[in-house]
Amino acid sequence: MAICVSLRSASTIPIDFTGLTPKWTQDKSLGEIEKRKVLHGRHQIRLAEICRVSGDPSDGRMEFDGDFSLAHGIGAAMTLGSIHVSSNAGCNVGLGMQGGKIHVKGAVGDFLGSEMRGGTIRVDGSAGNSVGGAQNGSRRGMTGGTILIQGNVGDHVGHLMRRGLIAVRGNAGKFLGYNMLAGTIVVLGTCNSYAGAGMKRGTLILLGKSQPVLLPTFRLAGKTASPVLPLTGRHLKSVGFIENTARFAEPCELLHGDFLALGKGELFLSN
Amino acid sequence: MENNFTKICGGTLYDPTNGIDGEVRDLWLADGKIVAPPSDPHVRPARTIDASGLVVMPGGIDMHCHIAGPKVNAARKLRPDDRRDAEPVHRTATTRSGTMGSVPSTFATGYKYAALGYTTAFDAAVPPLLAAHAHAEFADTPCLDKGCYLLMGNNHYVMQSIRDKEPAKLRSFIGWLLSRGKGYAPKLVNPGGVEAWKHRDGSRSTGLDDTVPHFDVTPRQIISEVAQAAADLKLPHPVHIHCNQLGMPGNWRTTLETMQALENRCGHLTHIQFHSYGGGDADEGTSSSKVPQLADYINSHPQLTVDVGQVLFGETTSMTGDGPLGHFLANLYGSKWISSDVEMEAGCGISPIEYKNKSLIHALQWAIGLEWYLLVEDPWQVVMSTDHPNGGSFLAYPQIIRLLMDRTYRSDMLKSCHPDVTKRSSLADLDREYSLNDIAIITRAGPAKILGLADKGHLGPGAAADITIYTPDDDKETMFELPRMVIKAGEMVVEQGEIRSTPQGNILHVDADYDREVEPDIKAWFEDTYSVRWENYGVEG
Repeated sequence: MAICVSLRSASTIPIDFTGLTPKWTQDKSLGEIEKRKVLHGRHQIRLAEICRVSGDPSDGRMEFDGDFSLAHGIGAAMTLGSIHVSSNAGCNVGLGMQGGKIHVKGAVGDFLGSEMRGGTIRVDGSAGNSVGGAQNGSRRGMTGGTILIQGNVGDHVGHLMRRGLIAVRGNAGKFLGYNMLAGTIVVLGTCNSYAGAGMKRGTLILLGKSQPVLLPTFRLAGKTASPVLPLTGRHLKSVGFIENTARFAEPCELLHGDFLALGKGELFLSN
Repeated sequence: MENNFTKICGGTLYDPTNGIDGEVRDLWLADGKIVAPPSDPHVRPARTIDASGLVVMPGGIDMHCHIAGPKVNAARKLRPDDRRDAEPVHRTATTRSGTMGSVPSTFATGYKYAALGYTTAFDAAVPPLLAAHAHAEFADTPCLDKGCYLLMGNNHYVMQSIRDKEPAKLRSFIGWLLSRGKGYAPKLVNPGGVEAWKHRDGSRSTGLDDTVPHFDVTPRQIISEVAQAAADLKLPHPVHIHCNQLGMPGNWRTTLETMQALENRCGHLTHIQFHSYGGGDADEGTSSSKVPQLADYINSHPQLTVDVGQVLFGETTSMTGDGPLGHFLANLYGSKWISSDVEMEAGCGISPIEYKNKSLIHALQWAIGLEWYLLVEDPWQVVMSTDHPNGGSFLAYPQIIRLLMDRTYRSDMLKSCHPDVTKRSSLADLDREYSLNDIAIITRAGPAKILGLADKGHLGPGAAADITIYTPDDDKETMFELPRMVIKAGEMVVEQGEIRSTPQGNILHVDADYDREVEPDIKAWFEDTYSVRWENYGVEG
């Protein structure tokens, strides 16, 4: 049985749950967990003042029941266990996480999986800007792990990403893979402009129906039936992200770029 | 009998200025000053501080750091990543909250300096145009007396006056600038080199005899003429020089020539560690230490002084008025940077940097810094600095003290560095250890003397009651990182790491006596060239 956290009443004040991870709660009593200080607006308050806590934390599972769209840092720095959010979640979900699983049924805010090092995040709804990206001023975005989003995503997805996989079933905003160093981003919907701007290495797979406007600093390498595509498709099917892999089986156009940076990035475009 | 005496009794005093080296003596304080013991033996002090078994020194003086002003604030903005994981300074009943990282916020800077036993600090590079910003931040930096040096080495009026051979104009301009910007000393940063770099990219390495485009003057002329003008103005700290070609292999020749260009004038060469490299043609493979040659020159020229700019391993932020250096570092490490062109006056470069002990160049820089402390024979000529935050944070001062006082610790640390360091520097052969008296010189008495601060850096009657009391410990790092008490102008500021009071501290600046008749000429030039009005320039009040 998991530990269940639910809001006592709806609030317009943001809450920061950073540090409230399955590992931290695992060996605590409900009383201890209720006493944990969380940032509510600019005040430190006890968790119990805004949330009801029930269940048993010992199996490393946490459930957030209700609309947590103003709750930031859910699953930040988590190392193990699993977190399930029944509706929306706020910013910095899975920030810097190293392991474990997060599943959000609704939508999430900005910086989902920002600077994460490992683990898996699934979002059934949409996500904001800088998915898997770097925090302000940082040199690196995500360096490992997997982010799977069924809905749309905002701008700067995979900003300064170094390793790992981001897959988006919906549409992506501008500057996909901005300044990315390596890693893979798959978008099955449409993709807005400036995809791959400043990318050094890494792979963007854009399989949307309509082709995005690409930067002039990407160079066409030709048509390809690279085995990378079916392999990626099979992997995404095996983790339950897609049902069929047909779109990964068709030949694609391959472009290289961004030649304003190192130019070793790959961009696959479906026809 | 009512009185306002405070007596610090039984402490072991280290007061090199007055020749006291570890003697147990009582100190009497009154009205923020150290006073002679009252002649009437029956006078009882209003307050007694028992310092028996403790070490008593004057308050520390950091003569070269970057703690306030436009570039420091720009660095704070550039580095949110640096502060994010650093433990913040929490608000208490007496102190404000703040952030740390390599560039702490203003109040935190004051508290942390005080907690290390420092009572005075000088920001080393403030462009006169933006001096008001530095002074506004000083107003928010408590517990310290502070001042700033004003950038002049690339000032257009300075270079014009030198080109036109008008030393009287130059002299008056320097006096006017120091008064208007409330500065303490003229600072030359890569004299002429920043201006040359603004004219043409690639001229990062302006040598002493290269000509500055448009102005037709050489860095050698700027150094020598400004040093002369400063001497004529009888400034307490004549000239503070950041030499040309900072960080470049083979720059030691330029540094030596700079020393020679000063001839018999007084001069202070700052963060000399960054200017003591052998090798050449930007070939890192031949980089080596040239400290012995340069230290020889310092040893035979007592009018010259240096501060070290010690590098410590770890992550920090480089900030400098040397714009071309910022450009070079950002390209070398592929990191973000800020460049700023300060109109007629200066440049600025800011970039994150991480010093690694396994990197030959970084380890060599670390060793070269220590060589400077150990090879300058007279500790009065060398001052401790990390060029905070360029070589490392001021918070590393206790570690440097341990490195100087404990050669076993030093050699252990050397062993953890890149192995080739021992071949390229003489550090492994140096077994000199500093005494507590030597430490008191390089952190207090020496900088006070070099800066011409008569009432600081010593414990004689008439001195400001800026006093630090340490608990002796075999581990000197432990001893110096947590003073037992810090007293500022007679007021208890810190006790065992806890801030007790937060006095505002004074602004140290010079009002030079210059020829006012040059002002119309300066004004004409100013209104022709600047983006601000004459009336709005400088620091009020």
